[in-house]
Amino acid sequence: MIDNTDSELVESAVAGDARAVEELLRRHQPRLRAVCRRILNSDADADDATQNALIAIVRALPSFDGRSAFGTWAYRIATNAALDEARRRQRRPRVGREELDATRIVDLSSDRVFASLDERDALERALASVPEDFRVAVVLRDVADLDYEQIAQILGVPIGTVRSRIARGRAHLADVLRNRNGVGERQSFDTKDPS
Amino acid sequence: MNDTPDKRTTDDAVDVVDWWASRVVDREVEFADVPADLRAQVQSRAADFAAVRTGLSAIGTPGVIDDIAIARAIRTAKTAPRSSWRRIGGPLSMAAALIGVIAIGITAIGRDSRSSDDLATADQPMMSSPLAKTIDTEAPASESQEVIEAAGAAESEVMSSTGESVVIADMVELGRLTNGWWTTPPTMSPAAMCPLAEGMRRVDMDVMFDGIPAEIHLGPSNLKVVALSDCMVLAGITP
Repeated sequence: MIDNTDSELVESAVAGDARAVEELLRRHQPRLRAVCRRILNSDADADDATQNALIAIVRALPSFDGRSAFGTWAYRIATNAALDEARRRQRRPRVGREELDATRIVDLSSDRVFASLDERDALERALASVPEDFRVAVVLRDVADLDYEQIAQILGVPIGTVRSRIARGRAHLADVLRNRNGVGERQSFDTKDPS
Repeated sequence: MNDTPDKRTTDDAVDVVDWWASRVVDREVEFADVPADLRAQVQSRAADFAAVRTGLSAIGTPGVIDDIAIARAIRTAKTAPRSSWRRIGGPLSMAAALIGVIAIGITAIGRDSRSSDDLATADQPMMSSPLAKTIDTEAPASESQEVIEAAGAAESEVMSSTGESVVIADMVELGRLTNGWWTTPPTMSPAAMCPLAEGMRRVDMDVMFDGIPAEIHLGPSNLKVVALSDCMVLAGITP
């Protein structure tokens, strides 16, 4: 089962093999959760979004038509679940939702780890400050490692818009981190058409 | 390059140096493709973007498999088996005629139109999916008792579902099905497969609309039927 491709597992799952369903979820859950985590910047919200995405995937498997890769399809569901969770979050008061990121529970005995954690925190804060549309595109590219075409499919936007959103998201991140490091504002360039 | 930055909208208004730098980092273009007068700026910016990408890749490393979340998802799906599809039948409803029905490009987007009889027979294999039956009756082989107990303890946190499956032939049937949803809302799904507009939620219902697998997004002032394959809007209703 573990050596089967996603397509083979989907076929078995739709034919009624419960182990194939479980193997598909086991194979993709960590990556889906990582994407939700970076979109939402909260472990608790990411857990909720990932859970909802997994439920939706299991329910929708019989209607999966194979036009895109299973992974792309699953990322689409997880991205929508994360965006939906973000909207719900905006509507509710945030009391006790900030939590300790379990991945930060590490040996803090060395300066190297401190520096690494500091950088990680800075990057996470910077990512959280990126406007949602740009953040989602950057996360799908740099965290999920999807190509532009897959991201366009997931977000339902033209590939040119994906390029723009990724460029703007990275620019925002780079500027925030540059200011944090005391490098100062980047030189402003006029926007001009390269053609 | 014929796909240069589009500055006509806010969404696409991107700094041209950033645009080139981002594509260089993603190896969509070679550095030699960058206009000569921008190369120094693009090179500097690309170095920043590469550092950002490396950092994000590092913090985005997938964690461990969460067996509890997986078991809970399967268990929750099991409580809402898609065992059969319901056809929206009966005489034409006057109520359906009273609501404003807006069909959005059902034919314009080139969907094949099939009769209701075709739908009722052609979609039968999907209507009684072995997956639904299996989920309903069989626990995953490797699911431990501990995981099952943990999932059970957390079950109250998970939304419940009616898990209904409906075949809708046309706008009249759609109107008949959804009439009353703004006074008595249907059960909502925990997640959608297509992007939800602000204020909209996915109705927890598997839908076959005009022969196309779809989902319904319901908001306070309208609803949309959206194709699962490409998220195109197939139809909409404004009450």
